[in-house]
Amino acid sequence: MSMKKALALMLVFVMLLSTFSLARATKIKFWHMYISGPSKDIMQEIIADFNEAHKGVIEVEDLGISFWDYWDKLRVAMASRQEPDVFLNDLGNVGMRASTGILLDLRPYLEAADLSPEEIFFNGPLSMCSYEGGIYALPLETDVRLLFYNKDLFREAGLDPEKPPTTWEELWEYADRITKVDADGNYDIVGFNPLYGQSYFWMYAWGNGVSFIDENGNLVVNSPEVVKSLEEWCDMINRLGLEKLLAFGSNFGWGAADAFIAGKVGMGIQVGNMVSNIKAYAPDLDYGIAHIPWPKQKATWSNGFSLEISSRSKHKLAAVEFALYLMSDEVQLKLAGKLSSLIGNKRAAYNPELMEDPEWKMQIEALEYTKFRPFVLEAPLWYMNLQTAVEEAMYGKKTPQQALDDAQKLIEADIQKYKMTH
Amino acid sequence: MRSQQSMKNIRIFTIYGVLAFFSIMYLIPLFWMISTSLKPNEQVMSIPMKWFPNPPQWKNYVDAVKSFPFLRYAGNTLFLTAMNVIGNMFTASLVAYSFSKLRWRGRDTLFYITIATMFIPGQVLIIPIYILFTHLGWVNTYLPLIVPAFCGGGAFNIFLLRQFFVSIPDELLESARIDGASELKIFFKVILPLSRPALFTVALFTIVFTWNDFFGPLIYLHDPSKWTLAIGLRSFQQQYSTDWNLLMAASTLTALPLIVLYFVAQEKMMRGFTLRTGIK
Repeated sequence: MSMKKALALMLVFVMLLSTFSLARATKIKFWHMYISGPSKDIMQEIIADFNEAHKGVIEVEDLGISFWDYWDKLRVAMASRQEPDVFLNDLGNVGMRASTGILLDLRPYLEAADLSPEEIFFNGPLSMCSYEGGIYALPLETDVRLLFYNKDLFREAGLDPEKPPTTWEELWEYADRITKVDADGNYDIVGFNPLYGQSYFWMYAWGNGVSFIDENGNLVVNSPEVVKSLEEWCDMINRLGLEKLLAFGSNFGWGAADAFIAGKVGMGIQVGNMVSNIKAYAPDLDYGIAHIPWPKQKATWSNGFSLEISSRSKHKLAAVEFALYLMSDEVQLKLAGKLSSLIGNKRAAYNPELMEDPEWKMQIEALEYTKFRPFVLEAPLWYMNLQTAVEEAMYGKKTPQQALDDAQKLIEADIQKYKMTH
Repeated sequence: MRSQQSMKNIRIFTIYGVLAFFSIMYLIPLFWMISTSLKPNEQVMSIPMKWFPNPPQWKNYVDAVKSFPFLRYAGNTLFLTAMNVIGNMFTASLVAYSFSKLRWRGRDTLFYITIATMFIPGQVLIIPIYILFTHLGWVNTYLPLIVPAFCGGGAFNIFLLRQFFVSIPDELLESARIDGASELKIFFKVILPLSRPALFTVALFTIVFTWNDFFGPLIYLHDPSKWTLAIGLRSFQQQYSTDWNLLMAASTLTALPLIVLYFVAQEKMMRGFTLRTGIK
């Protein structure tokens, strides 16, 4: 009997068992971060439903921990080989764990259950779950960054509030008309603030058609294209004045004190979840969401949470059963709009009712072209070097070329170090 | 005469002025915590800053206590704190007695080794100790958070008590020995009563540390019903949002016992810090 058939039979067996309450239930542990608000309520309901449907067969014991502490707890548990059967993790570096063998390859299980991952999940998130032909995680949650714009400020500046900019030239033209300066020359309203919210250099570079991976598959952050993008990025900041922008930014904070929510930023890049913050703190704010302007190609950046199963789990089948349940169309539909971000199940996301909401639709459209920071096993934190280079260039400590050359050297040193120790 | 008096006044005025300035500086965070705890959420980050909540929202305290099992966590925290205080005071003083008043081979070497353990950064020990407790089957119980206190009570506490015991004259112990007292009896009847201020300091440090300890309970306890206040406070903070007002209300309630304790114990604590024996 082939592996696939055997697994299929076993899965059917587990499902059949669930209709009878015979033996003592197999207990599996699930760690997550849904500890308050609507996401907690819905997750508790979903787990209770699963336990009810699998009474006497599988029982999920869940544990929710604050986002800020989750990583410490999980890391210590993993290092001590005590991780739970199923857990949430960072979608951005699944490959790091997959390479160590700590994660269960889910591809055979998906095949056995006759599920085609390419059909079910969005491409971008799915690619982050894949490692050397296997699928080591499921994309439970993901997100996108979009351009948020204030329609009232558009109207005040004589702009059409239904026509957000599509190119950077347009964006700057609009921005200049929206920007207001007070008597002391300080910004009162900034038309577009490149330092606000979730605006990152790599998104801008992607929009320019830049790739950080060269034709040989190597990570390159100092190619002429990247350098040119960084020069443009610095020009953007300089035309507004870094110090004035920083002074402006320091007036604002989070929630009601957010600069966009306070009506002081005409356009800014934010994660889709900003929608719920606006609802909570400025329900009357008239705003729109648009794709981030694209010089060459539409681009945005995503990350999210993956659902992973320990390869050391003693109850792999039960764990897979639960993970697949969480990713099922039905459950993902329930989670949609309740999580802090988007769902990874494409079929559920395209649900006609959800798509009637233009904000949801816009985010789903962006999910089709979004990019993730490329995962590099030898230097998984390479983007931090890039971010440092961006700041050095922005603050004028180094020229863009020099800052990126230095970042490239540091990344290559990391890669060398990895190769020497593995 | 008069100018001397006025010089003195100026000096006192300056000293008090500086002290008052610094106490106000240190009180601002506390004030801000209490002020925030009484604000509606939209006033928390408002600009310009609101120093006084208007109107004060006492309901925040009710909401904060309701949003996680506050009383249960307070009980758990109290239990852990009490056990650690008992453990630390009892075993650290026993070890310190042995290091200061008993003569045995290798005593000083062992003392220095004990002190040296303070130089090992706690982070490098997290995983080995976690593995140890896993093998003992103690993870998800209170044992990893209590038993270590009964195994010597930590190098710092031992050091503190030892230095104090050293200053107790040996003659006192000698006369007790001549009267036929056993070592344990001397320890309980002579050393401990004389060392109250030092023991008090150990107790206070332990209370503050255990009460606020976050990492230990976080990694060892998987069952939310066993959690402590420090972990409960985190439930107000999510990835993209924080209920600052509720968090501050719960923090105020959590800090309250420590603040009260400080006022009650202030004098004794100061005596402990100065490490005097109290023998005249």
